[in-house]
Amino acid sequence: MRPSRSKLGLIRLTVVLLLISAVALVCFVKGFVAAEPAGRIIRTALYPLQRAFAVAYEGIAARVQLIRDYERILAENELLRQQVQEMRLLLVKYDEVAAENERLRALHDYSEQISYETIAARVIARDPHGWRDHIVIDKGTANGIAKNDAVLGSHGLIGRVVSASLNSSVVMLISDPQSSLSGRVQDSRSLVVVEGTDRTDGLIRFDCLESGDKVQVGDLVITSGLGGVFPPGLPIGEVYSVEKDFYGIADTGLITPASNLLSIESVLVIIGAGV
Amino acid sequence: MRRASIGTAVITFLWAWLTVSVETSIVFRFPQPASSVNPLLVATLSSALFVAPEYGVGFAFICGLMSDIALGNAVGLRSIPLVLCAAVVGMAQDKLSREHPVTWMLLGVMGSLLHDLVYFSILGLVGYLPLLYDQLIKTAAVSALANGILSFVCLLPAYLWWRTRTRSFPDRLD
Repeated sequence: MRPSRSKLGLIRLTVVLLLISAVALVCFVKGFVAAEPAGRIIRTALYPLQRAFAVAYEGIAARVQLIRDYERILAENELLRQQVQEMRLLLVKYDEVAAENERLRALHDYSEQISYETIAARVIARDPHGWRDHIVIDKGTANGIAKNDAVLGSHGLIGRVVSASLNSSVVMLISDPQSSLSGRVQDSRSLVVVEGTDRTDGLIRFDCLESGDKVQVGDLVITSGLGGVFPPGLPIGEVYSVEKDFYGIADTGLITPASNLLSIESVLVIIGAGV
Repeated sequence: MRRASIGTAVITFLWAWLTVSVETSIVFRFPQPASSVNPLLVATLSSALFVAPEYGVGFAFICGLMSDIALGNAVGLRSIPLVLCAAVVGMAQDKLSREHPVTWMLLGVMGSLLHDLVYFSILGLVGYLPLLYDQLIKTAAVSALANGILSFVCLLPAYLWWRTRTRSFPDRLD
């Protein structure tokens, strides 16, 4: 008895609910029922859970996607790292080329300003211990370079050729303690002797050959041409400091070389002006 | 008795609320074929099989109604197939040994098929599915089969969980 009663109740319940649903469906199809108020209430009730589920799902989905993408991201990351490394190397090369271009352009401009025949050369060697003494350039007698040819940087005199071989030459810089040349203060026309020093700050010294206040700080010192080695009128540097000599008669002091002697990479050699 | 009925009704509403929320907010985000999972159907089958047939029918009606109204569908679109499914599964389970997993699996798949066929028929009836009759049947059959298999997969953990808790089915809730 009990199972049949239970089944009867189930059938009765099912029929009632199906009838309600069917009536609602027919009414909807006929456009009769507007379930909007009930919809608003149910949607409002569902909103918190729907939002919570949506947020949770999106969070989980994002993490799952991240895990899925992990291998791809790793590979991509490795590739990008390689590309960044290559780009860095390219950038360094580019900077080098740009800097060299700048130096050569300055040398070219300077060579057009002077009226001597010049040849451009690259510094290929330098004594790392005697930093300001000698440099080796990649041009030699095969290019017309001879001993005592004047060597210029991009802004002025830097030294002279002391030894020339077939394809390279040794240049003694004006900062070398052995270097000595005749100069002239451009404004006062006073003669000075410019000598190298063993200072580490790149400055060279001068001794004025005339008595009195002939030299001012900031004066430009140029080659005089009297020594017979360097042509006249080549910039040597600016007077950095002035003081009186041991006897208090003549000016003496320090000069900042026109070209930075510590970082020379390209030079101009004046051909045929040496003795 | 009355207090127990009220409690059952409240719990049924809460379960329906939870199930409809899951279906409307999550399932559509699943990739295929996981998006074919029908939580309302799975919950209805579970309640009809593991709680009581009457409870399953009531739960199906509330779930279907809530889903239809919340989504602005034709009222009855979901509740009719769910109620039918719960009733048929509830009645059929007396004929078979409920303790046997194969029985349970058979009922689940059968319920899914029935639900989907009725559902697609109603869709065609109200004009939501502009397909020819043979296309409708084909679509319904394919979808029903897929949903039946997915329902089985989804119901398996529920069944296993139930097996660990009790060795026998309750006749009714109260």
